[in-house]
Amino acid sequence: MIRFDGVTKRYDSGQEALSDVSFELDAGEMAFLTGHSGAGKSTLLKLIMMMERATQGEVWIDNQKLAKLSARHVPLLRRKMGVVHQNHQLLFDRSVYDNVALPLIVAGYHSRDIGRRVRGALDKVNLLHKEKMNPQTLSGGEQQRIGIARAVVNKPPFLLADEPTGNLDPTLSAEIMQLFKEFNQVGVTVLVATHDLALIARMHHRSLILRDGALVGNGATKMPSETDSNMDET
Amino acid sequence: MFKSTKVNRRTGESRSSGQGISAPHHSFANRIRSWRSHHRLVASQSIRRLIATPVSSMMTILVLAVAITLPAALNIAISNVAQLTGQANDNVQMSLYLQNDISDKKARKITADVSRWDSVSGTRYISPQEAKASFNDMEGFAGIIDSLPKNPLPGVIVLTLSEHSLSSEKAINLKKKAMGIKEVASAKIDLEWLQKIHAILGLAQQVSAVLTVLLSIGVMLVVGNTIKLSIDNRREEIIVTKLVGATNAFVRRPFLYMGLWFGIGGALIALALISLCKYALTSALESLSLAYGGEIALSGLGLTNSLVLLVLAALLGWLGAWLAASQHIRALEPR
Repeated sequence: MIRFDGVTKRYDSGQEALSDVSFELDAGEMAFLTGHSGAGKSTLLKLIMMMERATQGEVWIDNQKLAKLSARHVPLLRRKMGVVHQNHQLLFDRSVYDNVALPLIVAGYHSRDIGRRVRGALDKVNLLHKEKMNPQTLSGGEQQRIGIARAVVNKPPFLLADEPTGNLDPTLSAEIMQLFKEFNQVGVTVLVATHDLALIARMHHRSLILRDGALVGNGATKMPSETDSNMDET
Repeated sequence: MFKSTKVNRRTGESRSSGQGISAPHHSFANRIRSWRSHHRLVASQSIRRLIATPVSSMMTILVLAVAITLPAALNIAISNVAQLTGQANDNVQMSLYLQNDISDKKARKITADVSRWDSVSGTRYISPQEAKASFNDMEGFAGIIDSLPKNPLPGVIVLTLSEHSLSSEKAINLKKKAMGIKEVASAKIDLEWLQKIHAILGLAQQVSAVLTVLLSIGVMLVVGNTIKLSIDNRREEIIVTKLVGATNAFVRRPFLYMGLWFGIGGALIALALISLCKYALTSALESLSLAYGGEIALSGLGLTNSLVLLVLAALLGWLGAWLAASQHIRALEPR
């Protein structure tokens, strides 16, 4: 469960990235977070990941108030979330296998379990045959899939993705979205930030629409055509 | 392209049961086991990291070795000198020079009287004839006394003082008492140089303590600075590791091991340097020791002290790394 209760985020620079945002995402739900660039999508995800803290209002994850979470407990929260970053955040000083194994090592899994789970996750994104390679030598789409494998390897209850299809062609994008959908079907709460409206329209899931930091749409599966054209401009 | 059919089999099995809303938990024993295996992994990885950059690692270790060797060598030197003067303490002597023209018989009687005094552990009477004979034995002095009209050497009673009489007050009282005997022309006690040496040793010990503290801080700073550079180099890795849920302790661990290895490496080289110094000094001391009747043996650090040095250096390395790591890693948060 992810819940925002009148959340405002103001950066030190004075810029208000989110203003009075409220919504609730049930456990096992899948939703899109959309809006033009700079609308506050990344900030919203950062608040969930505790990379930032809300200036006002409350963010709840699993009935846990994030404002009350001490720095010591932040790592435990992050272990509950698989995050697919726009820029992959992969480490190029180690193999694909070691990149995907990182969340398991961090969480203290036994090495035997690690091997099994990493291969399972890599198999899932169809990159098992490249486990020994350096991610730097792989294509952008493959790097993105390694990022997804790493996000799901410890079977987290939440999966967050920030523009996961940002620089991929439509076919690859559709496949990645299909993958997220499959994770959702087995119970993972999925929140995908994207501005790929065509993709969203095809997926028939709930959409949270941000504009200049405010939540202007919540729930509609289909984009209002007015918003649609507005966002095409950006 | 993706194996969609595998979802249910691969990830679905465990998810379908409890929806996986809680953090992955495993038994306490498993946790301890994985914690231990992570320590082992990190310990060996951090050694391999040091070996991967042999020149810079060696430079750091050598700097540490020098910083460790200096106070250790000074302490060894001081304990050696203290040991030597300790040996001298055992046979502090007072010489009573008798008036001329005291008969041997009279002199022996005085010797017998004096030997019954408190804090006198031994007496020996050297008659003028014996003094002359030993004087003649000395190179270059042979015949000089014979050429004089009369033996100028007085009889001497040499008192060996027991250790308890070594405080200056007691020694002075003893000297006064001896001077009270009318046949005694003068009394001389070779205590003053000992007192001076003790004073110098005390000072040297204080200097060494200050030096030890300063260089210990130096060791921590050198390790801390090296660790800080290493953290800067691995900035990206640290941020990504934190993003996937690493605690500060987890991120800090490899750096703490690195500090530990630096400390141990520095101590090992320092121990080698100290042995080398001892070896070099031993041959130089041999000639000196011959001149003093072969009683000077240089003592080194010994096994216990070597181990203490090793443990202390390891602790300092660890502490230096901890100070640097805890400060810099906390500041490295994903943004």
